[in-house]
Amino acid sequence: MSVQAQASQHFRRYVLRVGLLLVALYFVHKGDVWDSLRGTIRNVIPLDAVGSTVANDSISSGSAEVLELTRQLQARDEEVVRLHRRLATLTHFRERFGESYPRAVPARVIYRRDTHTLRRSITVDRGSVDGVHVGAPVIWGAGLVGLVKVVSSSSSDVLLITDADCRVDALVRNSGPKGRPGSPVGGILVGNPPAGCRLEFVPRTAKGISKGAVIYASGWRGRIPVDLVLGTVLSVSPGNNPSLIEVEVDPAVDVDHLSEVVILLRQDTSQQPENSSR
Amino acid sequence: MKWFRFLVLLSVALVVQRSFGDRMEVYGSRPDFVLILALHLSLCAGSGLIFGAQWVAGLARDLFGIGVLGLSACLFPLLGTLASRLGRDLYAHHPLTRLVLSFLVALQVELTFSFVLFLKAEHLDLFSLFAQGFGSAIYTALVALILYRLLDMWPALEARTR
Repeated sequence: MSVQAQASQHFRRYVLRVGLLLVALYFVHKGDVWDSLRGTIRNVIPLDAVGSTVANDSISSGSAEVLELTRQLQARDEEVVRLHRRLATLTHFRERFGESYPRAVPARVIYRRDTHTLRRSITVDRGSVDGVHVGAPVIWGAGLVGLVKVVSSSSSDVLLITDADCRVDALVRNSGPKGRPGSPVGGILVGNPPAGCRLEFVPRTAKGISKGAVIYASGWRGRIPVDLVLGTVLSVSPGNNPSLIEVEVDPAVDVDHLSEVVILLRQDTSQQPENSSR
Repeated sequence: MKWFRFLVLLSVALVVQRSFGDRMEVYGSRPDFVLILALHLSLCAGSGLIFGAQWVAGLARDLFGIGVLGLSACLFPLLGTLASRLGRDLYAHHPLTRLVLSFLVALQVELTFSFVLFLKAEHLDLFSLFAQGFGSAIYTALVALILYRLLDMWPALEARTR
């Protein structure tokens, strides 16, 4: 190869490298615009579904074809559930919480890392300039993700419901005699890291609490919308306290694998000055 | 063939990161499998593959992870090329060289991410972000040493089956 051809090849290579870096810098600069691309690619390539399948080791046997079809089916199922939740969250939230929460702010998770085993929180890219305030409920699908704990101008920390410090007033609706609605059973939903919750202060005399029962937010003090789903009962055991039972709860939302959430706001505070920051 | 092998490995790294990254977390530090793959390219693969492949690895990390889109795509090729050149001068196949270079590159990536995150979410504590980044860099370098051994075995297997 001649010297001129080599120089030309080197030049092309450098141009290509500079071009790739410029594209990457453009992504950094216009990150918000390309977030939709990120969402589309995640939808097309269901890596999350493959990942959860691998992690849960749910497919343990079968021929290669069955294995592949099962994987595809699971990936589709998870995608359908995810899309359904997004639809429910972004489109129908007004129907459900529109009166008490006229405004919902979609937010992207930008950080998720906890230094303590009892702590569970995420950082989202919306802050006081978007009207977010401390205590605002954060949802995904029909379930509660957590509560806003710290707010700065352009970002917020969300205390997840699986955090040991998170407390949510909850209730379980049971059916009374002849299918009529019975009296609801109240309790406090407490985070039980790493991925679960407990329903505390449930009296031993309470009826209707069994595996699979749905737990709702009670809406007491108006902190969280009434009837927002918190989770389902995993197990009920007698516990150490003679007058209470221990209820393990599976959260309605897989809070450890969220990439986007919706923050519910009571009133349109986007035009107000910053009123809550650490 | 190189690209095919790389894309297969990248897919595996992304799935492993997604499946086991959270489970391997220790005090907020977790290994970065995509970075380990990119570093393996720097220290072991031919120079023709490094820049473009690391750009693809960085972009994939950005697309399937959280954080600022494009930052890994920027950092991986630059730091990878630097690590490759340093590795060439410092005997890249020696475990100590690999450990030190992996740690330095991982630390640089983590610190840059922490700083960008600090600029974006100003209520976060920069010192604790840096501390977590430091922990993750050590964790990544230690896991990398084990995975490099596994990754080194693949070309040998490929040669045996030809």
